[in-house]
Amino acid sequence: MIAGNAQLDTDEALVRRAKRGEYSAFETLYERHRALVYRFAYQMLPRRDDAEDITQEAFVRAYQNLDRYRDEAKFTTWLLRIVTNLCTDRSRMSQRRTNLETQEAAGALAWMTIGIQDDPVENLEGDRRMHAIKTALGALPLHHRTAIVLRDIEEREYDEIASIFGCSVGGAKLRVLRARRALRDRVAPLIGETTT
Amino acid sequence: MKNIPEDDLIRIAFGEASEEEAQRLLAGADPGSAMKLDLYRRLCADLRGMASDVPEPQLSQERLQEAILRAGLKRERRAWSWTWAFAPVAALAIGVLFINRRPDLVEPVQPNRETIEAPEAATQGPVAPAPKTSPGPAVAEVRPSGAPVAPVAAPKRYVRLGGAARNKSTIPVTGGLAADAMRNLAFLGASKRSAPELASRGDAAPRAGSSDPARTSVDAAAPADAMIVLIASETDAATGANLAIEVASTSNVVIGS
Repeated sequence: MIAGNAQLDTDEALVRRAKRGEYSAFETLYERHRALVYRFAYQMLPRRDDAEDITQEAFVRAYQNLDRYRDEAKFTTWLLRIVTNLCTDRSRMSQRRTNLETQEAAGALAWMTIGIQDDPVENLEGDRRMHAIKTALGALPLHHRTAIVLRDIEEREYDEIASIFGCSVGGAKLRVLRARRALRDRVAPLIGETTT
Repeated sequence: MKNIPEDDLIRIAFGEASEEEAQRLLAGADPGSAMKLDLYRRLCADLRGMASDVPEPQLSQERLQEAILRAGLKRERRAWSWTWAFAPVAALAIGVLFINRRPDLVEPVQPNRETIEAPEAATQGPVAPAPKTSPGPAVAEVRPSGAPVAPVAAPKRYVRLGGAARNKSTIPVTGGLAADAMRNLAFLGASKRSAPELASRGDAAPRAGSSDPARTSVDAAAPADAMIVLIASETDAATGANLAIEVASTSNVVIGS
């Protein structure tokens, strides 16, 4: 059997090759999806070192459990499910620590943030909104945060979200809807808007 | 002016409602709904902008390779292992063993039962004949010397001796008949003594020198030429001693209840 060009192979083909012991195929998978995994982990745990650890741990676990992967789901879905579980574990462990650190450093270095708008007033307003959203997102329960990150930040399809959550598509839609409401309820007071 | 349900506002703001549906829903919306819609639209835009607001990771393939090597590879799971088939059998065996070894699961001694001493306990002195707790036929009857001892039918009773009870010198025995039988068996170990000699002492229990538990086995203990004395629980009216009978062999004697 001729091994195809790794860059052109599908994820499933690369997984099959990696299962046969071809480590370079797994390296290709890593190169292809590490940005996605890192970004998702960073949105879930907004600490760069945590996100890097989670990314690495997710790929280690994926490699160790490749024989468990079945072709019914996309590789990225399976990978994101691993990342979600890791983030849940990490979040539970470090929630207390993060809360304390956030309280201590609340706004202490906010003035150093560089805005992307040219107008300083708009920059300030945009930064304030973004900061409010990040704070609200970080304060959401983990299941709500996962739903928001998957659907509204990573823009995943509902069937993929359902597969990650292990529920129906309707259930996934309901979870996302509830998460958006919860986020709105937390964001509105921070940006000075009423929700009634 | 109408108030639009919040679920519909969310669907419109996050682009999950079709164009026609959005226009239909928003037609004649009240200012409150419009304000909420605006809030949700900005929230959606901000969330989507967050995807690009991620610092560059410092990840490398070498680091991953190191982590994989450090964590080691899991062995591939086998679909079925025959060793699992032995698990229920092993569990059952352990359970049976556990039940048999637990002293508290040994059948408790009933209040109407009596306890007799094993042969080694007889070294402490004569043991008074155990009183009968329940009426019933005697196991062994006194007959003229040389007459065969006919087996006497008696209701069958069994005594279960658990692990703890077996390890003790005190053996619980049910009923007077069984006690008599055990006493007789114990005495058979000292079968060299004559019945009149025993009768004159007025007790039926073996004395010192008959304490070997192994000698409770009749055939193993008695020499070939020795006579065997069976002691009954009834006493002789003339002497007050227990009735006794000598037999050469116990092959046709039924002991027990």
